Amino acid sequence: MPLTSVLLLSMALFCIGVFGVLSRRNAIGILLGVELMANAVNINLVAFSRFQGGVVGQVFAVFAIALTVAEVVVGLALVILLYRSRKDVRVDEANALSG
Amino acid sequence: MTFDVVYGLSPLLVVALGALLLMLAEAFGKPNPQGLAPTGEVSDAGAGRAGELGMGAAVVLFVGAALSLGVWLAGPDNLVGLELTRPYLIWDRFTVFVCFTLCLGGGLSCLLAGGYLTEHEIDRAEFFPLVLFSTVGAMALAAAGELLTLFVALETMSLGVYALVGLRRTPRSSEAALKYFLLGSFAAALMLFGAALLYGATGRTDLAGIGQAIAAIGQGEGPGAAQVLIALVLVVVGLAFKVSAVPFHMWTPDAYEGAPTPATSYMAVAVKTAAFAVMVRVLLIAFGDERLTSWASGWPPVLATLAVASMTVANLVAGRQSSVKRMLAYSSIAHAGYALVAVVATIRSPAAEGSILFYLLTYTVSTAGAFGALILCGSRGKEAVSYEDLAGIAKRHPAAAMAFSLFLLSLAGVPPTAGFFGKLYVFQAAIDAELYVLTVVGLLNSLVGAYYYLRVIVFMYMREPAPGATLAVPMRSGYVASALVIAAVLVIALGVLPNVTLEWAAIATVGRS
Amino acid sequence: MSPATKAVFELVPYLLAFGVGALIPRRQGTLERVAIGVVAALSLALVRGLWPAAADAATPAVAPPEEWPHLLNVIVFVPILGALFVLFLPRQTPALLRRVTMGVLGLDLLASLMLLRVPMSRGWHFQYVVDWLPSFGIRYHVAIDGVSLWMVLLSTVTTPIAAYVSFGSIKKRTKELCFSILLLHGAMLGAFVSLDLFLFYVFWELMLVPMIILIGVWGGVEKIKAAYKFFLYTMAGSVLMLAAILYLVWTHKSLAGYATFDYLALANVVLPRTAAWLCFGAFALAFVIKVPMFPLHTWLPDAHVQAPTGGSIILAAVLLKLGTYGYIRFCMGLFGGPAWSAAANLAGLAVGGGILYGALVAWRQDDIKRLVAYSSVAHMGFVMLGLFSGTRPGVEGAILQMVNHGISTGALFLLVGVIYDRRHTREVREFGGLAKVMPVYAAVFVLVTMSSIGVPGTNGFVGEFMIIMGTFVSLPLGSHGGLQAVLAAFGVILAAVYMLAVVQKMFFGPLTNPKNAQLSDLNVRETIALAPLVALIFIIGLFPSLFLERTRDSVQVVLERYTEGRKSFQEMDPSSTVARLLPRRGGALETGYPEPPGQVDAKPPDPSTPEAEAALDPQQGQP
Repeated sequence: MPLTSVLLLSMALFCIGVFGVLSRRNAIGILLGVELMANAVNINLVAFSRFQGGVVGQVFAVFAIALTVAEVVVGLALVILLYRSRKDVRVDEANALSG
Repeated sequence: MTFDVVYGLSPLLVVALGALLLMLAEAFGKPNPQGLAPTGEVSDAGAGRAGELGMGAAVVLFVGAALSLGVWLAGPDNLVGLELTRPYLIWDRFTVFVCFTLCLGGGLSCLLAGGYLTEHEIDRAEFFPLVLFSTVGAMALAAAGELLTLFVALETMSLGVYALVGLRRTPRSSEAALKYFLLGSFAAALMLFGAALLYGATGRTDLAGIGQAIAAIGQGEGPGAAQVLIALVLVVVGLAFKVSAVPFHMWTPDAYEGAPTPATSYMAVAVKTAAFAVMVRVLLIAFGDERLTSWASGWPPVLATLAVASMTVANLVAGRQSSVKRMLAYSSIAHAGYALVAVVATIRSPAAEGSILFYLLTYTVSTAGAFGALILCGSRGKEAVSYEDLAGIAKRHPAAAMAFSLFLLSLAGVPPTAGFFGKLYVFQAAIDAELYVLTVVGLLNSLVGAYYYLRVIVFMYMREPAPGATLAVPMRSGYVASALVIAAVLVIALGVLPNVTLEWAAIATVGRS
Repeated sequence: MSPATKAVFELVPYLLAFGVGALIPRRQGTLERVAIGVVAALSLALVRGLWPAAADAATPAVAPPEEWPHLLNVIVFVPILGALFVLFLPRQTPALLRRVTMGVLGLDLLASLMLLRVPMSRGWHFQYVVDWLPSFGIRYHVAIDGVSLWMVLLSTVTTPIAAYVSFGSIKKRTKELCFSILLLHGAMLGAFVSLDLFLFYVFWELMLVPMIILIGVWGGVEKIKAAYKFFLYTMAGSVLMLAAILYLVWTHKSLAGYATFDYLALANVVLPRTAAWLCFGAFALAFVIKVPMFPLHTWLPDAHVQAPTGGSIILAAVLLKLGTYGYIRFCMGLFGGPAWSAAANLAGLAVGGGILYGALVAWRQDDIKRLVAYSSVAHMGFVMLGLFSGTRPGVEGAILQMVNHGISTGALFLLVGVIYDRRHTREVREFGGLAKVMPVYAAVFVLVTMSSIGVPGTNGFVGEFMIIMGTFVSLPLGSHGGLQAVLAAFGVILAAVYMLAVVQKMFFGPLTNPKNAQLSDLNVRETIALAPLVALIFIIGLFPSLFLERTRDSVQVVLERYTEGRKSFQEMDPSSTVARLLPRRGGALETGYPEPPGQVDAKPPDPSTPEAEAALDPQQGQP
């Protein structure tokens, strides 16, 4: 499989992720979008590593996965926090702050 | 050799160690009989703990600042062992200066929290380990010379701050934290994608190597050049989110308003400082080749647009806020705009990097002080947030009003305060780089900015509270007061005798090729 | 005679004045007596200082007394340190705060009288230079010449009066009041004596906050709006001025190789046409707003009407002078070319928009304070006209008129404050026949009005006459000079019309309003405050040469710089975009000139001796 197809795949994934973040109103949905973007990055990194040689890309990907997991943990904790206080996780309904 | 590394990195190590110790102290400390109740009656034991831990954290951070000073005096270039950490951590004068600013801002915020958490009965002493860990991340971020380190540091810093924002567990606080988190991780993902593309195009992950590779790729039409360009856009957008430049600022007012005030102060000073440090390093080292720093085909016009938009929009919107905290949030966006002017000026002026650092230092002391004074104006169950809350505070709490005025004047850039020299240095760098339009726009914006800072002073000194309004009994706290004294002394000192600091800032450069 | 006995003899007249002042008034408390005595002694000191003959007779044919280099530092920093000291005094003791403030201001007045001991020859006096921020080329450089001397004295004389009046009518938040007045005073003095553009800017901005507090805390109903207006107008001017300063410094750095904010060095930079016009515009805007000139005057009536009496006095007497002073020193000194070319049009504006429009609007006012504020616009129009004329009588008259305006308008605001304190209204129609119940007040009011109109024998006449004379023969104004002089003279008549109309309505005729029947005449505090101003009206009116003698040489220098700036501006190729640097002028005029950082060690010869001045003549002074 040539590099271009892999890149196209990752680019598509990334764009879906961006679309998800921008269009979803549910906090979980947005979080999923961010995850998709991060995974597109991982595909990219591994693909570059595969086609350029060297392991830096794979190391980077492993780190990126770990970072994303940490992010998700904090993110879900915050979602639960909001759910506890508002019984709702839609961000467009969360408008206690505005101005 | 080892000594060099340990001594050189000592600010980072001390803060990290302090964070671990504080976490243990928090975990094994006297348990709070009321459990995790976020509000309501809390025994004095729990409340006192926040104060003690806050003092501890502040001491750790001030020791970190002192060690940064020590490393500066020893000269990071003389510590040859520090070569070992390259390219992962580039421990040069630029980094050390930023570390000092970060430790100072963090320490002031911890002192503020020591008074604030006690007063508002937020029994969450994990605040302090979180601040310390986040500061470690921020320092590493400022030093990062390699993409992997950069991201690990960025997440270390950000995750702590997300938690800080949600600390209060009120709906507003949680909402602010979630919004901040979602946009922050979105920005991080964008940057990560940009970084992956950079790695793909150049095969390198260290910034200096990327810079050389990009210079080699040059003007070509090949896929490499396109990848670099997309990467540049993504990285700039991600960084713009982090420094909260318009139009990527949407999270800032919400997060700043919803967070507990000391956390707001920390976000406003430390996160922004670190983000600017990494922005300068990435733009000048990785994207520093002649083509990308030229006005015609590189990032300068993009950043100039961001700067103008940030200053103008933020200043205009800030004037229409009814909440002082939110106004300060917009003001921090506007200040990001001024600092961006200096970032643009780096393309032609050698003094611009120093001006960014000095500006961030003055901004740190003024902003932390302003938030501290705001804390001092409120009290248990009645946080001072809106302009109305501040009406007539000059009579009820003259010292707080005086201090608040001083910090606001510094933010407005009225001499002889620190903020004035910060602005002066930035605009002089901009004139040096022949960016006349940006300079005039910036100066006119500081005029608009002065209006809403003055408005706070007007409310404090010239308005009477509305009849029947519930008045906050101004709080008294040794922690907050000491933070204010430190900040005020620095604001005056940097405003009257900024000479040494200016000279130091001038030699703290990222060492572009 | 030993120095000690001599000092005692020197003191005798002052003690006598003190004694006379303290003993004459009857039915007063000790404190009032002491205050009157002090004022009498200080007035004597001022008068003695003014008379050069008196000083010369005492010490005939000796070299002028040595200039103490720290005198200006004392004058500037005594009030500023006093302001900081006031912060640490308890707010529960208003009497102590007032005494400390008056003490500091009195000390400052005494120190500033020392300035009069030196004849104001060409060049700079009491110069003091020390590095402040060498990496930026910023120095603490203060000095005075015959222009700034009068501005300093005007401030040190009127501010204590304003403070004294304020303490009479303002009883709340005394601590903030003392702090604001002292800080404002120090900042104004600092701005008048700074020869470093950066230092000047710092003091210029420093004035802003205390003045806003004065207006906003103790002002009238619309005080907050007035405070905002004052702030925004002033800031708008000054930010552009800062941009121009930075540009000028940057140009100097690229030409000479080192950065400096020093006035003397920057005056030698000749900018290309467009840049010169833009920089002149930025500076002129800042000063014209402060003066204020039509159409940027709209902040002034609001600020004056809303400000408390003391604030109005300081604003009118000193703060506005910063605009005209700044125009003389910086616009004419740094940008002679554009200033010369713009003079004719600006003079038209000063006549039409200032003198005539100000007078006509003043005529229409029902509120006395607003009327005085607009008359202030008209008077400042005279001052600006004198400056635009660019002739010696014009500029000398303008400087004299700046002092006059400070004295007579300050006194008018004080008088308006007196009636406002009693009746809490300033509407002209509320009054009538006041001369019957308040004879002394009416007499003083008429007298000050005469001075404001410019009746011969009072100070106003001399200044306005010289300005009109200077306008007639003015070169920059060209063929319009005559017409403008005639119109300005017509403005004097208008001033007489509106001022006398008010005097007639207020003081003469039947006592119609019963509320006015029980009004008390001037009290001791008000008399003490007014006496020095009234005395000065006559001293300047009858002996204007005392003032003009000390200004003459400095005006000469100002005009030389002005014409020189114009010449080099015209020699510049209009299409050129490159700035150039004139050689140093040398001599006494450029002592304290900043040297490139490397050459600091090569000390120039001490300029205070005549030999050194000869050695530093223009030819040798050139690099």
